[in-house]
Amino acid sequence: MIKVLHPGLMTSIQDMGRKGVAKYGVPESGVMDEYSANYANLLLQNEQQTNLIEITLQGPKLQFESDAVLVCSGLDAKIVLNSELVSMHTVFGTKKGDVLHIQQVTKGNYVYLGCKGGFETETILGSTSFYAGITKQTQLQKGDFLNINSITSTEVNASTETHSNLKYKKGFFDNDSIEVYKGPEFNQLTQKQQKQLFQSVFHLSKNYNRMAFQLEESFDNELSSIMTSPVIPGTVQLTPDGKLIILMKDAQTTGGYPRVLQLTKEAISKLAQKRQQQNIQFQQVADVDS
Amino acid sequence: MLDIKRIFELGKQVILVEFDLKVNPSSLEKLLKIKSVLQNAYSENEVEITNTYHCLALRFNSLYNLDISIEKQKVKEIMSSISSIDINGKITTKLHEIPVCYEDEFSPDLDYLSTELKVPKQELIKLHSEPTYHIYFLGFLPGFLYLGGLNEAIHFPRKKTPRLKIPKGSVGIGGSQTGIYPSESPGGWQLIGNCPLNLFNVNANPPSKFQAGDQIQFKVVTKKEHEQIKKQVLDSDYQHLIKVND
Repeated sequence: MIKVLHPGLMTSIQDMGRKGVAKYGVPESGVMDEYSANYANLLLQNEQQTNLIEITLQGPKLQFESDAVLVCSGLDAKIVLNSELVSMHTVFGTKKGDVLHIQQVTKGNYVYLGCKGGFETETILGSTSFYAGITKQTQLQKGDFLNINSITSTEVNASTETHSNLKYKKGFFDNDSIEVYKGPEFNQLTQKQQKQLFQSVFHLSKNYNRMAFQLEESFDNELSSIMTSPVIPGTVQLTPDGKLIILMKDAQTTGGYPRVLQLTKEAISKLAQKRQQQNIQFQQVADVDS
Repeated sequence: MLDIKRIFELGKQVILVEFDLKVNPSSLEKLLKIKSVLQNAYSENEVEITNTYHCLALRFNSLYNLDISIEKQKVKEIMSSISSIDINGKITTKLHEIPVCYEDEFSPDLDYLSTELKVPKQELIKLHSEPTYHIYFLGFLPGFLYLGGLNEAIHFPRKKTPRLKIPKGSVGIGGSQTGIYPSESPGGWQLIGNCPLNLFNVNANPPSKFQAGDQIQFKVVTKKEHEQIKKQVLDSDYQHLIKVND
């Protein structure tokens, strides 16, 4: 069991999200950066769907009441176990009484704390991902207790020793390009607008959260709203006042703004880790449709 | 015959089938029949198919490996094999009777709308509660119903500045649409009433009793009845009236 001494800025449980519930208007949710989350689960030899703790900028302080096998994944963070520094992407064990403090996410926005076996929290509509109105909790609170899904002791031993030589491609996050496909309303943009989308350098505005990342720059726009249509994480919407809004994991299932681009799955992970001052440039990967 | 506009890949996980359709109940029925033909070709775990006004979205489960171009080809073939027999005939839908209280406590914008529209309050309530509405789809918030059928005489623009907090169950008008807020949320609709039901319950299976294609009939209730129903809902002792249309 783990006791939350301090919850951090916005710390939640996330897995690969809710499938098959868009018909009820329920968002997918799930980890913002699948690339890092998958890597943590790979290092722990967990199933891909195993949930993790998603940490935003400032992390939690956790006290362990039992043994656990853990790993942190993401761009970079300052992590302290008792008084020792812990490295990213290195599997480590904790004993009863240990205190783990993920002090600061020093690069990117999100860091994942994965645990061998995953965390035992309520499963609602097929997922443990926190979301307001679906799960009782939206973020971890001071004084919360988290149970770890039980695993056999042989599994514990195996996981601490293997998989440490897997490579985390840090370069994955190191460039400005966000790979996209054309969105359903892309062809309604003027030639000039289409060029502008691919040739401009954009920046993230201060409005970014699990639901959507809004870009700072305005964009000349004469496109009006569309009839409410399906949207998914990674859909780039153009609002009537010329703002680009990129939908993320907690996005609604339908939307009424023109859908000009669609991020690739990998690009969603990359964007999730971008900070306000960083450059963003859309790069078209393939001409999917006409 | 099917009025397909295009079949479009939205990323590598979703296929959109777009139609040239007017928004009306017969288009909705046609869309839902095509949806069920497509759903029969896939297991529900593999693909979830949702609809909006004139679009079907095949949402492939990302945990399965798939080649979207092969699936797109498959969808094209299914679409071209659909005959008029498949999309004629009735589909089974439900008619839900939904209690709504229009009294002052729940209708902060009713006076304003009445004045602006030059429709007396009682007449406005009648125009809102009389029609049978169609549920086109769910979206926006968990359990939120996109309803069609609002009388043109009471179309009214949204508020310029949205309210930060709208109580759960609020019934509102926004442009040509009307709807019920299934949970507390910010919003810009003009509020004219409140529905005491739980439109969405995560602990129920399914979490929403409403489906695209179903119909809604509002039933005017007094504040006292609203209170009573709300209490029964809390005790899980209330079931709204549902009629099955064959």
